[in-house]
Amino acid sequence: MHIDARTLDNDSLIEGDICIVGAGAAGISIALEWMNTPYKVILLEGGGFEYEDRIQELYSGKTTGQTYYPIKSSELHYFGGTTGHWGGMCSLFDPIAFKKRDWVNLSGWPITQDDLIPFYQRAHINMDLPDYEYDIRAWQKKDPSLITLPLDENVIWNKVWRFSGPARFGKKYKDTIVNAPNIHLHTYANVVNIEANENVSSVKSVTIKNYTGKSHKVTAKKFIFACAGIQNARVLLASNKQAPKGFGNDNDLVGRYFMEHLEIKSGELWLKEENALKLYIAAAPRVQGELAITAQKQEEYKILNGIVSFTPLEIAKKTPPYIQTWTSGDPLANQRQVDKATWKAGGNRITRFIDSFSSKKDLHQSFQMTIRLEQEPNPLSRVTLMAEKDELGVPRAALNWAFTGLEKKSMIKIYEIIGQQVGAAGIGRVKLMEELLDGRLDTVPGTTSGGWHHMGTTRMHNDPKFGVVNADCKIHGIDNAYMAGASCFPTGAGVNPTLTVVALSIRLADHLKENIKASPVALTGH
Amino acid sequence: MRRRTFIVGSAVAAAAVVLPVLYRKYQNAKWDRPLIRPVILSHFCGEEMIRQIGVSYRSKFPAENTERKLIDLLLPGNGGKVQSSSDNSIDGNQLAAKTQEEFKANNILNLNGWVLSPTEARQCALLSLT
Repeated sequence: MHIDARTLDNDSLIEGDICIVGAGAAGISIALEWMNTPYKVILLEGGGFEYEDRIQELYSGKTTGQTYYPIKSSELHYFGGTTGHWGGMCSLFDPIAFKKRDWVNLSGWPITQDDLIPFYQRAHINMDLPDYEYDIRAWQKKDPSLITLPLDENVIWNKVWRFSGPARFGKKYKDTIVNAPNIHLHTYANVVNIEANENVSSVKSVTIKNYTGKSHKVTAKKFIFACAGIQNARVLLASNKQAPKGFGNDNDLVGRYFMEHLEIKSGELWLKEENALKLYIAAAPRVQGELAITAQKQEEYKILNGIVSFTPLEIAKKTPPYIQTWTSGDPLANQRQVDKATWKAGGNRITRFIDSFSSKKDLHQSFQMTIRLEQEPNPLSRVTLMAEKDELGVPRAALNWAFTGLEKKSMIKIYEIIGQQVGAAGIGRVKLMEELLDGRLDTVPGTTSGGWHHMGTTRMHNDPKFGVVNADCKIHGIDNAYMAGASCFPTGAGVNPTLTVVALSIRLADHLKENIKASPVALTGH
Repeated sequence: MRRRTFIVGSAVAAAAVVLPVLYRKYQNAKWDRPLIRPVILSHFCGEEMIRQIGVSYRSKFPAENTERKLIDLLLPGNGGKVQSSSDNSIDGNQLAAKTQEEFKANNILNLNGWVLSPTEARQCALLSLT
């Protein structure tokens, strides 16, 4: 069922059993799990079904520290959320991503990869991923031409990527959600405040607003905040009337430990003989391989998890880094800019046509290596509130993106490991970007981009001194409020987060079902 | 007078054609010498880049900044038989094999961004001294 909150009478009261704030990958995944249950689910979306600049403007904020994309255009604010422009790349977080690593500050999840595997499998269905297969050998059995580079598997392994359509959750699930009798989707319903009980141990309601000037209240037994990494922190911090430091922020952790994936074209692979590197380039979008460092070597060298992809060097040289093309507050304009740059890098129509007849068109001697690296949790890398407010009266978000130095050390070491392996195999040589070798760990190359992956701002830890939420994604100290999405990640692994976001959300949905079954509280029904 | 002009002119013209060819041939011959030609690196690096790597190596390891020292390190046990980088009697494959062994033993260094083995880096250094 769909309700446009702009059409409700002012000061309406909306009641449900479960209230999900945010209809992106996380929020929609949870709502799907609750379809056809006897419970009334309120799904709140700040925007409508299509992109509107005035709605997106509510996300405007400022950035400091390492150069970052405009906040306004780095998360999408309409039904479907940022899946409206994601690339569809999916892979599993490795077992080591969940482990406590002595050399990585505040690493360690309170859950393991094994805990998530069943949910990864279910997430595949939501995300239009055809089959659950992440073993490179299985792919090679199907297609022997997917040849790996001849490197020592005890040092470097081949991480498998799968590609979702990409599933645009907004388009894909609009009808399903709207037609579900127990899901009450309210669009143009921006949460501007969280109201708690007297001792701030339970959420009573949230206040929603939109540009009509109307304001409504939503009450529910359980609340789930699924507004993406920056906005999740913002809504908690901005709800500071009853909790002066912000909701769920007794330990000053909300907004801190913001993490991205550092994506940098920072190495080159030069081969003795030309190669297509089919597994690593041309096999996509069916499957794609990237080089990853084994857990044993990460531990030996005390480095972060990072993964390396390949692009023919001549094409990569013509493609500017995202941080130089994604500069506008308008995400659609940015996307056009990126698409144009990518198209131009591939040559003009005439050269493309001529190349299409060449038997050697895919063969290259040199390849750009792009690293995708997790960030070490850093309390100074954080989301805070600005004094300036948006049109609905909510303080805007400020982001300070900062690193510890372990990131650069890790990047250099990862390339050296690959260089050593390539040399030992006698197939070529590796060259690092010279900017990495300036002897300073407190800087990263100016071309450092992010993956639009906002993680860590409501991090998961069973001890409230180190985490905003517990292993079930419940906010510490609040008995009925949960966070969903990458903001719960304690660390970011080296891969895109969407598959893990959806898996974790399905896990949360299951937990809430069990929790509600056990709850003595009478529910509203629908 | 005209005859003399003709002879001088012809000689100059001939020199203009022949000397660059000879120079090029000489240079190539020098570049082809196994001691100063790292096998894999020279698949994709030109002579100038290899010289630059060599200059960086000598700057990083000043104790090796002579032809004699570099040859001794490249050919241990040579007993002074090879006196200069122009010696063509060296088996380049042996140096290539040694290079690969060093990579396998994780004996590597970074010069101008390149991840290299000491042997091929010394070959670069030797080239930069010629």
